[in-house]
Amino acid sequence: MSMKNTIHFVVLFAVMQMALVWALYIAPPDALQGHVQRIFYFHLGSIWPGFLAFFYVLYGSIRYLISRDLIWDRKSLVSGEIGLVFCSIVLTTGPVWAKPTWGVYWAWDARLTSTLVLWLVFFAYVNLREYIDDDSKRPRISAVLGIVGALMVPFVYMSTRIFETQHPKPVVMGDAESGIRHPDMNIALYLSLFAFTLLYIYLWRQGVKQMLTEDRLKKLRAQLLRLEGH
Amino acid sequence: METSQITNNHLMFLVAAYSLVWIMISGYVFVLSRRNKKLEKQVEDFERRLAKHGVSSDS
Amino acid sequence: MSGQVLSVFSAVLRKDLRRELRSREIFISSFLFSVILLMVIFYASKTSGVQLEAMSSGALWLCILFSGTIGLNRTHQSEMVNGCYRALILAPVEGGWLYLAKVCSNALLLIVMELLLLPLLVLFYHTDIGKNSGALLAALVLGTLAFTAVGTLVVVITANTRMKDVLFPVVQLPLVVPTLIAGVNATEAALQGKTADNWLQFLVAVNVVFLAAGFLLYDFLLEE
Repeated sequence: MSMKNTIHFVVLFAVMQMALVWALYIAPPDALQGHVQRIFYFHLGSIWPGFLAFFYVLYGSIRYLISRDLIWDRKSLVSGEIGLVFCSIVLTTGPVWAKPTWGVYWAWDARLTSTLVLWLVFFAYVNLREYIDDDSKRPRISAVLGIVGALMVPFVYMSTRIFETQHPKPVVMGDAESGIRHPDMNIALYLSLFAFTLLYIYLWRQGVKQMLTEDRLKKLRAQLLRLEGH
Repeated sequence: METSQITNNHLMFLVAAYSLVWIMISGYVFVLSRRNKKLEKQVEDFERRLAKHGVSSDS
Repeated sequence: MSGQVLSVFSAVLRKDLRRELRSREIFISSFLFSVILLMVIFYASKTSGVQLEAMSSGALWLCILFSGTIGLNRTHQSEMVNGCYRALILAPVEGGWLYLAKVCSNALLLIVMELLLLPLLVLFYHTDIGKNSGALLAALVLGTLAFTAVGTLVVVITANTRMKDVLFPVVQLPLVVPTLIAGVNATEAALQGKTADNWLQFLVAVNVVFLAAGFLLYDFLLEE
């Protein structure tokens, strides 16, 4: 376990470093946007694990409701937390990139709207359990919300897409138009996608391990209390 | 002259975006480490209480 | 078995509707709230120079969203007093049927309110609602059903929390954004005399997915 962990970390470190070098130095600047376009690599790199995390919340919540094994609740909760982190990265780097290219920090573009909704749903899923006092209900209620929220995500994306096709806007510099033509740009993109996926898995494993340790300590505490009662 | 100034301004946005990536991730790492501290405190508490029963944590 | 399902389903539906018919408290308060909203929306957007007619579908859907949220919260709370909810759980059928009955009664009440709001739209916003009344009705019914399908589930989720009154709208409203977008666009098309097939199909898809999900998930929420 620990050996696997070390290897994982070393690979993550190396890939992230390569992604940084490719994204910031080796990939040529965009013809229209110049160096700001380099934001794109890490921007897209973090939305991908965000989606992954959401699918995992759906999967883990269903597994929890079927098996009633708390480990699935912990796994999907940690996934939701990390998804929220990556979603926040997308939501903050997006406006920073939009300002120099679009001229405004925020436009009600399909992608922005749907990512904002995604963030709100994630936020509700992660934080709802703080407000549930009953320990036995907490994982069950969260799992149901996780499923409902994750099922809504494809609809959020579809609705904003149909909206766009119905009202064609003047083409702002979107992802497709910014011109990923140079092979080094592709390499930078794939490296950052890979790096962020590894980062997601690494953080997730640490988080789950921590939660399971917390559960074990809770159990030990109960045993200790019994011991002291005698 | 003017174009280089624009690129300079834009570089600021690039730095800001990559800093934000780092800030968000380190924020989560900070949350994890705070939880770890909580767990550590709990373990210390257990050790103290076990010591009262004559159980040493070394054994 | 199916006879039992049907009798429980209709009993719950009739109970909800009869209680509302007797007290009318939820209906009147959410209707009045909608009227106030129509006025507030007008004054809030007056300075932007938006045409009144162009605003009506958005205004109508804001009324549905907000007074619907208030209404759902209120119906669920009145269920909690006197242990009424506990008695419902004891019904000898799967929880999913209770869910469907609740969705039906909630959606029916909202649709009646919308029908009463339409003349007010004509009055306040000079809207011509007669251009394609079939499509308008379809958009309203499908949109309201999609809204209540999610809301009936979420209201039970948040009812288990400490701050249910605050949390219900906070959790519910992001989840109904797709319904809002589809509903506004379908209604707008209907008011212009067109039929927005892609939006209506979208609403049908939302309904199918969430009615099925609610049917399967409601049992998990009822466990004590």
